[in-house]
Amino acid sequence: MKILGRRKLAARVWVQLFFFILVALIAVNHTLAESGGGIPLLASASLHAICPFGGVVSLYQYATVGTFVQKIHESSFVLMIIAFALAFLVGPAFCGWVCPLGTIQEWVSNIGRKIFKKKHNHVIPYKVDRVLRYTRYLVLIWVVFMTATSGKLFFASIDPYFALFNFWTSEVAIGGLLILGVTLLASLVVERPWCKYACPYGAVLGITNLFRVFKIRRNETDCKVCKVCSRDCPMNIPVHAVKVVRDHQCISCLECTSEGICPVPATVEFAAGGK
Amino acid sequence: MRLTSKYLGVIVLGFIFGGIAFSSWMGWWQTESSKEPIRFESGDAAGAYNPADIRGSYSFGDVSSLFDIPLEDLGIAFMLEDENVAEVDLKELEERFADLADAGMEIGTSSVRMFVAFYTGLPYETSEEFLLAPAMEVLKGQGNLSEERLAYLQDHVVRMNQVVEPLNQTNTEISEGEPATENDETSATEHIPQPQNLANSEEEHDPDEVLIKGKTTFREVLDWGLTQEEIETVLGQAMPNPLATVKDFCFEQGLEFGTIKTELQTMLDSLN
Repeated sequence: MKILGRRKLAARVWVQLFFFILVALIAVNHTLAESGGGIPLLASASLHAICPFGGVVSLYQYATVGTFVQKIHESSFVLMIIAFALAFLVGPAFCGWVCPLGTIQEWVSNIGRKIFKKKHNHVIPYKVDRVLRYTRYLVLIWVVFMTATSGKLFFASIDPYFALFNFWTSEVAIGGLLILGVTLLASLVVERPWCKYACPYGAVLGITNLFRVFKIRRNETDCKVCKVCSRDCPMNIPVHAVKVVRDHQCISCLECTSEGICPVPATVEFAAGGK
Repeated sequence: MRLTSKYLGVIVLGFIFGGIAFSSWMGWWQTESSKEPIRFESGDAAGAYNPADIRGSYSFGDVSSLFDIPLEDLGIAFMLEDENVAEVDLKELEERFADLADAGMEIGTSSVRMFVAFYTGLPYETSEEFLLAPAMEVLKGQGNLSEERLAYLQDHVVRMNQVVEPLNQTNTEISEGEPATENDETSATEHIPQPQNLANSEEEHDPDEVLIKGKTTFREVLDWGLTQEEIETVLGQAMPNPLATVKDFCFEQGLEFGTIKTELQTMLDSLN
């Protein structure tokens, strides 16, 4: 059986590109609007106002005081609810299809794949990697605790997503720029390093993989156990070894499916129903 | 039921933009703070916007439309005539007049609050706010100043030439600068440097300074060294959740923010 080269799902590529450009334009427009200019018909909201994680870190303050953390607005709460509803249905598709920081990591990884070939995304020993995957939950607890006790958007000072779309402004913190730089460099050898090891929002959404309606399902009868699905999974999930993917790291990118890399039709699918 | 990437793409886009459209329709989609101050609930001014609730995030355009003050007057009062006054945010004032803040005569959002109250004749409890000399001229021209307010203003007006002119001199005069009096011989508007020049002080503005502002939370006041008991003594009641801002709490409880702020600031200053 000939194993096809890495395929990218066109729909995902276009949706990712769309959101990357949209967020970039909004960030630029926010800067222009602050100086009295701006692009007509385009939102000029701050990046904090269109980040659903702002809603997550504001939950405690909203519940106890009835106000938002500084710089967070109702729109963050709305996006948080939308992302949760979406995740309940299809898992962390926000990570795999929308998040521009995830997108740019994939773009850099495309370069790294050409440099490191088969070694790319397989450099960290499995035992170490398996433990490191849970550090993002520590980051989540730390960020939520610090925000709850300080009442300030603590994460902004280290947020690589904010740094990515604000590097030209004085608002960006050096910590955010440093982490962004490290993330992009690491993306040359590992796919989505920030998502795997540090993203607190990915940690939250990842939990929905345990109960999402649509799941990655492998037909054991048809499967040839060629392992190409596992080898090609950006999050290194051993898809070939499970019947249903419930791993907290899955980002619903569908790259492992028969529509993506799996060479056997109707064998790995994103489907609802069944066990 | 199987889902292909195309359908998943449609679902993602539909959830996000459908959700935003629905929340906009419901009035939930807000990407910035509401720019509407609270209103007086009683007294002669009942129903009018309270100038004390003006926030640093407001622009002068917002202030103009909320309190029906011509932009031209605001521009003169805060020395913004050469700019698009409507687009300037109040929070920018503090940085523009950083030298004056160092000299203990801060021109910032609280100055705008006082100016608006004095301009419109609305109730306002002062707490050591300062105004620039051109602002006093505008207020005098408006004719809404009571004798008491005029007297206060005369002790709290900053004559720019007295304080910072010439700019290339040392800042000795700034630190020794006293509020001007009505008897100053120099015209209030003579030799007025442009405000952006004032921010060119060699001394950097300290972002960590212990100064109670509109966004200061009780958590910060505690972190700066006051105990909960000391804060409650000033408030005259139990302190709320530390994440609440002092200002919001004062408004909710009907306390005068200016008075509470001054008392807390005095206690904090005594710690240093």
